[in-house]
Amino acid sequence: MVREEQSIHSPVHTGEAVHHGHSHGASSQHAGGHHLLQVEHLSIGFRMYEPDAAFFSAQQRSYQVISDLSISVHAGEIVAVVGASGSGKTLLADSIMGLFEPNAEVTGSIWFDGVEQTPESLASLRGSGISLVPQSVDHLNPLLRVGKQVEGVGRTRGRRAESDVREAASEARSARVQELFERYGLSPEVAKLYPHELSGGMARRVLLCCALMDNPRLIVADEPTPGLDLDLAVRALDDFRAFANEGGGVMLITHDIELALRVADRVAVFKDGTIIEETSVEAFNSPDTLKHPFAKALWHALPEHGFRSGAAC
Amino acid sequence: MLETRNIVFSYPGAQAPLYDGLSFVVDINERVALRAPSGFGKTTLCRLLAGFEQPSSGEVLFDGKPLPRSGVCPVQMIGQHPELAVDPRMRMRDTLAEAGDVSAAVLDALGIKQAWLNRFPHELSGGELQRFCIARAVAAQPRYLIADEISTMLDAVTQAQIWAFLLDYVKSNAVGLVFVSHSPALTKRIATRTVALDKDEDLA
Repeated sequence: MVREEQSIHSPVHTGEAVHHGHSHGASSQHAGGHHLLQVEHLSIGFRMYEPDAAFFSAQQRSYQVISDLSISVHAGEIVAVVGASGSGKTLLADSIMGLFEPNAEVTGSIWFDGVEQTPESLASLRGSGISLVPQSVDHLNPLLRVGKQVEGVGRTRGRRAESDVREAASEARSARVQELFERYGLSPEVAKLYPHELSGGMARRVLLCCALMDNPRLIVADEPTPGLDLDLAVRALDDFRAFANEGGGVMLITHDIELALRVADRVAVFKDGTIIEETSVEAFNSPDTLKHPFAKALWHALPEHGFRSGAAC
Repeated sequence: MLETRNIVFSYPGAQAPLYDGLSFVVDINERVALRAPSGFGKTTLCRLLAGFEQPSSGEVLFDGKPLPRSGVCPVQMIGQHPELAVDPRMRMRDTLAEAGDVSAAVLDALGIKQAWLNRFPHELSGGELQRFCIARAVAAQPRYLIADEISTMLDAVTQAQIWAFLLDYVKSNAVGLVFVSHSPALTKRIATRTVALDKDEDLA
């Protein structure tokens, strides 16, 4: 099942070089000569019954949601994924985590750290290599106090260890929880609360803490900032930047283009189930350096620019 | 006129009340932005204004009277998490029908496709669901709309499209608007006034 990646290339790029369907910004890093994450020709469809047919004669057909999508994240890099709502961004995040609906039909390949992955191997990387910051706050367990949820992630690793080792590990984990809570302005009492007692922004911060808890190699952050005030959102993004600077990779799925541009190295524009433009952050300085009409429309629709809705295509 | 008079509210078991005697007035032709740090209680205030919570003392008044306890509430709230605001076992068509008839023009303006009506909530994206929540709130023919971070899950183009619809709607139907947003640029575009909850001053 496991193949070595064939696409090793020189770690040095010029700004103009295009390979694997994307170009690089001047500041992009390329540690180890390969991609930390590489998604190639990913297509996802769902089997559904013909919606217009009569009940008993309805045939199954495939409803294509993501088609021929390729994207890569290098070690040390933040790639922002921006694009139309409903275009399949969350599906992409779920695929990288190996989470598929039972009626999904998936083709394509996902490489992590130079090794091609199967759905099973992606599942085993969850929480120990790849961490997800989910979009919806209902990913929190409603019956578990949030302190325990943050602390509990990935505890299975120490299961067979000696009891004193386990105790030390457990203490280290609680210390890490406290450190993260402090960093995100969550008071120690918050650890004792249940998810329904949190505000939207607090729940968002708890999800961030969960993802940062286990020192992952790659973070897939699916809209991590809604509900956070500007200071907190900037702090969260700065943490992603620091995480990337230490050699991690971040895929930042977001609608907040303005914020994303502050920290990202590259931007991938997503529409109708595929990446229509993968470009450097610098290209977003002006609509003229963007190639695709939808990318230009996004630029014009920002409240800071035109707040224009008519340009949508 | 929507008015809060000296409201005090605390959740069970909390050490200090969220607000202690909060009063402000929103006129029907205003678009008021609420501003406060995360966790301060903006969403709770929205829920109080829309009648989902009752203050432990003080009153929320609509045109001088308390909000009706039954029937359609003249103050409708659109929430921050659309996936938690719809019944997961109901098709979207039935979810919309809860609020009464929704005109094709509204569906069109919000970009809701006919094919989505037969789907269940988990078959739609967060942004698509939010459009249904907005359509449902508008279908109830409210006098006030409370919008709690309603566009953070939308891309910039859709955000502009939906706010263009809502702005047009509140202006042409004389509906008052109270909204929460963490984006200063968006607030500047929409608001006629900002209320900073954590300070004792109203900013013009």
